[in-house]
Amino acid sequence: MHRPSPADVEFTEFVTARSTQLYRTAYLLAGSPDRAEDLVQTALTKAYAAWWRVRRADDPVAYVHGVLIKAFLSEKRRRSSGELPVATTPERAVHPPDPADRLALITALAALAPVDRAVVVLRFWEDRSVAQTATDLGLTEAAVKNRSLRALRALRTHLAEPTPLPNGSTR
Amino acid sequence: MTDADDLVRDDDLRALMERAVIGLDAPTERLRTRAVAGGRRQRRRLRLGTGLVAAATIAVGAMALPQLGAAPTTAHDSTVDSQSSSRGEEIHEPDAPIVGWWDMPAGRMFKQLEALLPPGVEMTAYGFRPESADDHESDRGWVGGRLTVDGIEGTSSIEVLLYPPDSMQAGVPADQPEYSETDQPSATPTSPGRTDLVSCPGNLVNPDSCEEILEDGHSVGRMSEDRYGDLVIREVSLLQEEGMVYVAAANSTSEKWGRGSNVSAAQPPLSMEQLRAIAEGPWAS
Repeated sequence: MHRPSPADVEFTEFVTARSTQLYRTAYLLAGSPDRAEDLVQTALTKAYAAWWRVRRADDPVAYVHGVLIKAFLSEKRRRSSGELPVATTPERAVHPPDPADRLALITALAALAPVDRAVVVLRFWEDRSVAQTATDLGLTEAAVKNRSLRALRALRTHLAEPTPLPNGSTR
Repeated sequence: MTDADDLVRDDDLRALMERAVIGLDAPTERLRTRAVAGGRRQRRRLRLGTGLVAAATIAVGAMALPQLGAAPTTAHDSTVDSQSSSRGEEIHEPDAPIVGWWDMPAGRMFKQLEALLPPGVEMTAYGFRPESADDHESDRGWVGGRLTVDGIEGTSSIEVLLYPPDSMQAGVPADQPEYSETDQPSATPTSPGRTDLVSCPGNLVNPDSCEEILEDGHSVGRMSEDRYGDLVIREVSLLQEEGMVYVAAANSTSEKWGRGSNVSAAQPPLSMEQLRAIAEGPWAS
């Protein structure tokens, strides 16, 4: 029986401790469980491949979240299709306390431009500062503030509207 | 205080986000296993790519130096560049030669799998069309798709993974040192190794059924079934050469299977023995 390497043990502990938070962040970005899992898979695969670099980062958790965000934006650049994430796999939800909240929020987030969505998730889900968000996304702080303001206004508008359900009715 | 902060406070966006994601739990073990397998593949490609680039750079530099009078880029330079660190930096993944059968391109795996499917069962691969299979080189060691059975589409899905040897030897550092010499190895047996992947239950968590495939009294594979409500997932893992072939099918057309996946048929269209026959195919040849 081989003994796990320290790096493998560390990585396993990292995945065990952090994968759900990564997955939830990815879900808010991508809008569907399948694509969220793909994003987390991509981020963790890159993290494992360069674990020596992750473990030496000032904040390994933030580092991997950064990889996740970049994977999301990179994927969005490759895909030009406008997604309707909630309609694709609504059945994957695991008994949320309020499916209407999830549907409304994911629909509203999906209406934002990918970078704006990333700004919202970093600022208000990951609790990153404007400066950190700007660094992570390669934007100026002013751009982060502008995008944040614009995105939140759009979210507010979307969330105030009745959310279309997959069968065409509204709630 | 910005306008944005006012909006957030008014809408309680953070609380809404929390309500929206509560109950969403990551498939941790699946993510870990695939990240380790994929990450080790990436490392091999990086090493091979760095080696090839370094060799080419040295060759070009040696030719250019007398003519241009300029200092050539060295292998050390390119290595340092490839390892420069910044938060969330993308890791370059150069194309690299296939180093083992487990790195088979997805297009070739698709053709191999098609040939092994029982009569009447056809497959539509995720990510590429059959006519472009020969050109689909970017993904390696994994292929998945939806199955059509007797002309009926959307009944189920299948996936095949090829495990490289080092992804099954959890205790063996596969690459360059990733930790300082002062690190103390931990004895925590958290990473599944070769035995865990082919024994029952091994690294499985409460499978509904599990049967080992024995050869000369030793387990060389296993056949297991998991049920999540009406969703049925059948999996066969079989050692081949130094690696392993994993074949799984489910009565769902979701690309990812788990609690809550859609259920598209009463049962997966392939029996455990049919999956085993696929796993026993000439993947390693």
